[in-house]
Formats: sequence, C-alpha cells, structure tokens
Amino acid sequence: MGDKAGTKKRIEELGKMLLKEIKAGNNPFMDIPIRALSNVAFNPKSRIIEMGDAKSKRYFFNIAHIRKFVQTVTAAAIARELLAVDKHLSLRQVFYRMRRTIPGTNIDMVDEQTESNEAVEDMELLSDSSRELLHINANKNGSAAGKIIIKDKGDLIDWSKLGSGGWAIPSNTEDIEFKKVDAKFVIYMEKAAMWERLHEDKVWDKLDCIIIASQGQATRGIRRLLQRMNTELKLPVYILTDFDPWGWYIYSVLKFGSIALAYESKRLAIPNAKFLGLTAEDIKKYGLERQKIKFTERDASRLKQMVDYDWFKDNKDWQKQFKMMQQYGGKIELDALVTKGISFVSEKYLPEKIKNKDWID
Amino acid sequence: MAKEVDIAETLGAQMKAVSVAEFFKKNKHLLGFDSPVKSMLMVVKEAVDNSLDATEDYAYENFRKTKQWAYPEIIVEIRKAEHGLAIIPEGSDIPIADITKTGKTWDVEYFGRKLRASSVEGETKTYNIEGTKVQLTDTGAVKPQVFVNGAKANVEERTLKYQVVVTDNGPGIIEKNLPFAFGKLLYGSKFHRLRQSRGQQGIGISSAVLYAQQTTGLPAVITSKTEKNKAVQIKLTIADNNEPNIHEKTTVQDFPYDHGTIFDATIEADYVATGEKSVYEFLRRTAIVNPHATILFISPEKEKFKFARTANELPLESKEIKPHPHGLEYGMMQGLLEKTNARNIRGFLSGDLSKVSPGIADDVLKKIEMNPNAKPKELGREEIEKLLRGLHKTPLQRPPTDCLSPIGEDALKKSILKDTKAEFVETVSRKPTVYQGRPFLIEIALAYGGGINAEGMAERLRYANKIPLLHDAAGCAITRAIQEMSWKQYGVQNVAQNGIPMGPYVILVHLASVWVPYTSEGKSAIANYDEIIKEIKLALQDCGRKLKSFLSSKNKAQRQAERKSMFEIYVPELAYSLEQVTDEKKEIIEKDLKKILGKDKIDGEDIEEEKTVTPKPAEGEGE
Repeated sequence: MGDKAGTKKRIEELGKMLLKEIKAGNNPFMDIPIRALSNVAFNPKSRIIEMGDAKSKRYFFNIAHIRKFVQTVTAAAIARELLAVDKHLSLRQVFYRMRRTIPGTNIDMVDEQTESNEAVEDMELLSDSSRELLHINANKNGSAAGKIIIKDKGDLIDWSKLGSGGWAIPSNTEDIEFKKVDAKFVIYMEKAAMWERLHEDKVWDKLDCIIIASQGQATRGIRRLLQRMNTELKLPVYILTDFDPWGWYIYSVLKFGSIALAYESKRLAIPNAKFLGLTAEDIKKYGLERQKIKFTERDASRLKQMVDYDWFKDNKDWQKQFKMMQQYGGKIELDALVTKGISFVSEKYLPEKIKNKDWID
Repeated sequence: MAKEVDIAETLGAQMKAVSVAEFFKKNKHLLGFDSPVKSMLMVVKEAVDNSLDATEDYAYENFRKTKQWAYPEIIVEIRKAEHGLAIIPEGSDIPIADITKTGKTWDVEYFGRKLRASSVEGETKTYNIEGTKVQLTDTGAVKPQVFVNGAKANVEERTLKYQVVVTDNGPGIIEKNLPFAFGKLLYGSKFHRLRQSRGQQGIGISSAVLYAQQTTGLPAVITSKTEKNKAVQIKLTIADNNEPNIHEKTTVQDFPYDHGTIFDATIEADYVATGEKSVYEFLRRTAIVNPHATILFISPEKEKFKFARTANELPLESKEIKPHPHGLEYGMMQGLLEKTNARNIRGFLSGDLSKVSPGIADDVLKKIEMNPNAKPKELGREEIEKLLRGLHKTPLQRPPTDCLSPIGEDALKKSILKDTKAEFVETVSRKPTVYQGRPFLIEIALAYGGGINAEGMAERLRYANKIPLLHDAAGCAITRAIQEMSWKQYGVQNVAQNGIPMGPYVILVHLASVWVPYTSEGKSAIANYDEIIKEIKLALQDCGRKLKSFLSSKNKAQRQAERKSMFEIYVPELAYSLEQVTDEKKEIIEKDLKKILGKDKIDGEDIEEEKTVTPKPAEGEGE
C-alpha cells in the first residue's frame, strides 16, 4: 500500500468524486469492495485468503445505506485531518470523535465501536491505504517476552529483561527493527493467563523461544509482528488456542488471513504457522476430558461453518479434528492444562509437543 | 237427583279463544316492545319497513310500465305529543315511571299501565316496578317526593308521549283494503311466500297500531292516496277479535305526493337522540343498505337529517321460488307432499321443487327404487326419508338466485363510502347458496380509515333482508363469524380479546334470504347455522385480502415519508463531513443535496441492503 502523501491525495479524490456527483444532481455513491465470505477466495498456491473484486455501491440517498455512507465520509474527514496535522488516534478515539447525536433527533452517528471500526476499514479499502497509513491505531494489546532484542522508536529493548509484565506490543509494528535474535521459534497463545504462566516459568529461557499473547483475536500489530518474525527471522510460529471453534478460528486467521481483512492477508498471514494445541488428541492423551464445557448451539453452528471453509475443506488433518470436536460436542479451555500441574505446560506439554513435532499444519 | 255435569264441560266453558290482539297485549315484549326506548324504535321500524316495501313495489311496477325509476322517498317525523312528570333515578337520564295528579291523588304509571294505590297528601305509598322499589310521598308541594331503591330520585317534566309520522311515496292502498293492511294482525301476502322480503311474520305494522292504542288509547291515523283517487284518511284501532275498528273516515285534499301513505300514531315511549338504540341510528343504518331510497328524518327537536339516495337504480326485484331439495327436512317435505297437486311422485319432484328436471326425478327414483307413479299423499315415513336421502345425495344446480335481492357490490360501496367517508372500502356480494333448503346470500362491506372513529372496537353493522339488527349482537351468527376471523392475517394490527378488530373499521354484514333464521320473535339476531357462518367468513376473507394490500401500500407510503425525513436528517451531516474532506463550503453542499432530495425519484434509493461482513469476527479482530 501507498505512502502518506498518496493516501491523503486518494482521500481527497474520493471527496471530489462525491462532490462531482452531487453537483451533477446524482445520488452520490462509493464503490465499496465487499468484505464478506462471498467475496474472498483461498489461494491454494500462496495459501492465504485473498479478496475478490466484487464491490457494492453505497448510496447516500438510500435508507439502507445512508448511515454507513455518512460514517464512512466522516472517517475520511478524520483521516485527512490526522494526516494534515501528522497525529495519530486510536480506534477508540475515532469512535468518540464520531459519536454524537444528530441535532434535533435521537439518532447517534455511531452507537458502537464496531460501526466506526468498519467505517475505518472501508476507508482503508477506498484509499488503498492500511490503517496505519490513515494514522489510526488499535489499542495496545498483547504481551511479549523472549530471547530477542529489538529497536522501537530509537529504544533498544531486550525482551529477556522485562520483569514480570513483558513488553506491550504496539498497534503498529511495521517499523520495529530486530537487533539480536537468540530464539529458535515463537509460541503464540490466545490467553494472557497462559502467557503469565509461561513467563513465570521462564519457558522462553528454557526452550530458547519467544512467547507472545493476545487477548482473544490477535491484533493486526501482533499478526504483522509474527509474520515478520516468521519471514524475516525464519522463526517457526507455533500456536496455542482453546479447544473450540473460536480458538481454532484465531489460528485460521493467523495462518490464512481473515475474511473481513482479506485485503491485508499478504501483510498479515503466516501460511506456515503450526497449530500446537489444543488438539482433539491432546484431550485424550493428557486426560483433560473432565474440563469439558458443553457446546452451545452457537458453538456447533460456528464449527459447521468452519468445516466448509475453502482453506479447510481439503485439509484431511483439520477435517479429522473438526469431526472429533463435533463428536465430542464440547470445548476445553487452554488453561485446563494447569489442572495437570502448575508447570505441566512448560515442563511437559510444550517440550514434548515441539520435540515430537506433534502439531497440525 | 240433580243432573251430573261433565267436569270437562265445566272446564271447557271457562276456556275462551284468546284473540291475537289480546295475545299481543300480554306478550308485546316478545315482539320487541320490551322497553320504552325500544318501543319507539319498533314503531318506527315497522312503519319504515312497510314504507320501503310499498315504495319498492311501486317503483318496480312503474318501471315495467314507463322504464323510469320512481325512487322511494320516506319521511320520518317524531313530534312531542304530551308532557308530564316522570321519575328519574339519581345519576340516570332515563325515566322509570310517569306520575300524574288527578284531583288530590297521585298515580304512578309504568309502561302505559296505572299501578295500584294512589297517594294523597301526607301519605307514602310503595310500588314495585319490575324489582325496583319506588316510594312516593305527597308532601303537599307541586311535586311529590320520590325514593328509588332508597335513594332520592328527581321528578322532572318529560315528554311522555310521542307522535310518530311516517310518509312514503308508495302506491297508496285502495280504500277497501286500507283497514286490513293496518288493522289486522297476520294480514297480508308475505307470510307464506318463499322470497326475500323485509317482514316475514306478517305482524308488522298492525303491532304498532296495537301498541299505540294500548299505551295512549288513541287510534292510529292512516292517510293514503292512490294515483287515481283522492286521499282517504281513517282513524283505526284493532278490536279484540283481531278485526279493524274504524273510528272515522274522511277524504283529505292535501297530500304531499301524487300517491303514497302516511302512518301517524301517538305512542308512549322514550326518545333517545344518539346511540345504537336511537331512531337516528336505525334510519342511518337502514339508509346504508337501501341506497335507492331517500330517507328524511325530523327529530322531536325539529332537526332535519337527510339520508340521500346514492344509487340510480333499484336492486333486482326478488321473485318467488320453489323449495330446493338440498336441505329439505322431513317435516317440510311432508308438508309439501300433502299440499301438492301433482298426481304422482315424479310429477311432484319435477314440478314442485326447484332445479329438479323430469330426467333428474327419474334418476333419483330409479336409484332409490321407488315407483314413479306412487301417489305423493300416500308416501309413508320410511319412503319419505328414503326420498330425502336420495335427493340430498344428488348433485343439483344451486337454487335460482332471483328469489333474492342483493344490494349489489357497487351500490353498497357507494353507500358505505358516503356514510363513513372511509379511505378504503371493499364490498363483496357472494353467490347465493343454501341452508336448510333455503337460498341465502351474504354481502359484506369492510371500510377503513378516513372519517371512521378510530377509538375502540370496529363498528359492526348487521342486517337481515336489509333490516338493521340493533340488539342481541352477542348471540348473532354475524358477530360470531366476525370474531372467528383471524384479522391479524389481514393486516389488522389490534384485535380485541373477543376477536373484534380495534381501530377505524366498519364491518357491514348483510344476510339476504327467503327465510331468515332469527333467534327470537324480536328479530334482532341470526341463528348460528354453519353454512351461514362459513359464507360470512369467506366474504370477510375476500374483503380482508383487499384490506391487507391496501394497508401494506399505505404503510409503504408511510415508509416513503419516513425515508424522506431520514434523508433530511443526514443532509447537514454529510455536508459537514464532506466539507472537511474537500474544503467545499458545507452550505453549498447542503443546497446541492437538497436539490437532489427535491426530485421525485432518486436513482439508487431502492437498492436493497448492502452486503455486510459475515461472519462477524470472534472478538476484537482488526484492533
């Protein structure tokens, strides 16, 4: 994606285009690439999810579109201002910026942050610029520790000397420089609690690795960082998630890219990331059955959706996993491993799995 | 030894024939004269029914001769005839009894009847009026003091007697027949014929004459003029032997029409100006289903109301028909077989029943193995039943429709539209069908919005043979059919617990039949026959479907308006944001956007929902 000046120019061009339509007495519209399953395709060669060309017209004078239309233009106005003054706002701040009641009504411009987030994502596509180029950041989210020294905004940071809290991964990891790398691989996990456990056990020291955690879905900053470590440092990336469709989808997003952000897959996906656990076999092998939480209908239908995804459809290992989960009819959290002993994960589970290459690709 | 007297003979000597007039006197409540308010309505109703029948007869006859319609005109006038004191319970407006002073004594009268005991000064007398305790004390003042059920009641000057005058431009009645037409119960040609007509018991107008003479002692005054003769006026009562009693006969010079009849009776009754039981409401409802007539009403307060004619022709005239075999019952069949002039059963079937040809008669008789030459009068019980079963199983054409006189969809629509000023009116006139061997048809009008009162339940207008049914709604087949409709399926938003739509609706149901199955002599509710309820529901469903599409396009128009206001709300917002993206003045952008908004049709405004991102990311994706 383009540079800063180009971004600003493209935003202004969008505005001019709208103005031209208005002057001509036409219903102003934007061509928005469709961010839906119907418009993504799995590229078996690059093994990432790519976005298709389908676009939908978003009109101003259309009762179904008008709200999103104005939100998108407002996001454009905010981005243009940020670029002009060379400042950044977080997504949360953008939400507060947009959130106000339209005078004389009880309609709020945005009710929830997902609305402003989507407006920003649409602007990314319309201006052909990633969020970072629009000067909009996500909140800091995630922790890291391990055998690596990096440089961020001129500061050298040794990830093995960060005390108990580790390093907070910023929203934009594009400009981080890798200085000295002693790690042999990276373990990513979806739970901060598990990260705390592993960090206290100094597992990164014992296994010579880096440990990174998010809380739920990995942010773009984490995903970009993981991809850069994988491609630039050639470090294998191992992934730990809950044994449930939602956890497995986090793996899916990290590895193949996401449906909603398919246009960013190239920058974010890690096609050779490995799924370490929890697998269906782990449950039996490590005796975790007692921690079973029964599936809700929502869980079951989410699993069904995943079975049909193009990127899983022909993957025998994953189809086997899906089938076993379906039969099992329940989920188990990553933290269930702690029931086998406080340091069971760092002393037995991880070393064994990595040594035996007990993962799914 | 004294001659033994047969006990039966003694008893027999005590028996005497009860005259119809006598019977009426004792049973007038059965015929609808059961309260002063209802009695007023009954007299007006009988007179108006009579006039409508007469004016229609004239119009049809005249049309055959001249090919011109002579439209019915009816003038109903109610005048205050006599004032007096009435007892009005506290918190009510309706008198419960009248009181009169003769010399030094007070008398209480209820419903034309003087109650026992009179009160003189300083005395208190107690009366029981249908369970209500009335105590009257003559205190020596102008008015006595009255307590009703222990509570002090008002004694007020009220109109006690009214003069009801109904004038029509019918054919008039020839002098010879005049006393019988009004002065003899069960007189007339309507009683035994099988065709749709207003009256069917034949008691009708003479009951009003009886009511007048019994409550006020005054004879009815009938004036009638035929085309060729001078108007004749008679003063008439009905004797106990059910014979007309003419008190005076004169010729009259002045008559408002070239021909017609004036019925004039003074009765004891109460007049209410509004509400379901008012004369106004009765005439309004009558006018709705008789759009070919003009009805003028002059109230006791001299207000004039005109229900003008909306139809330019009369409905099809009803003709007499023979009974249809489907639904014929044993008793009726037996009666027909006894009365027939046919020499054999084959002749009876094809000659006395409708839609049975000689060929069909042969088929039926062959199937049930009955001799076609059997004598109708000689059939036994089993044979009659066999014959009935055979007839019921034979598919036949529907009975002839010309025995019925529907209002017609167009005429009804015009009429209800004029009355309700509704936004939407749909009418359905169903094809005739049969219940119990009698043809009937259902007509419906469903009106919505506009001038219709939006508060409370839908107004229900029930009719049988073009007569409004004003009482006993709860027990009526029409009410039941309305309640059994699933109104919500037809776009009606609010439906009361009892199944009746809430809001600005008028539901009119008209049953036209050669014989209306009333639940009682009062003729105010239709019996619950499945065939009738089914037909009403089918007709309501027809109207309901039209209503639904009307309501949905109305809602669409409403959405259109909402859409426009939504656009208006967002115009300044877009202008504000777009100014920041383009540096164009927001006032200019706003002005340009408003120009587009002024267009009738904006391209792209109808495109469906945008496709949205699915599935939603698990948690916080993209952050």
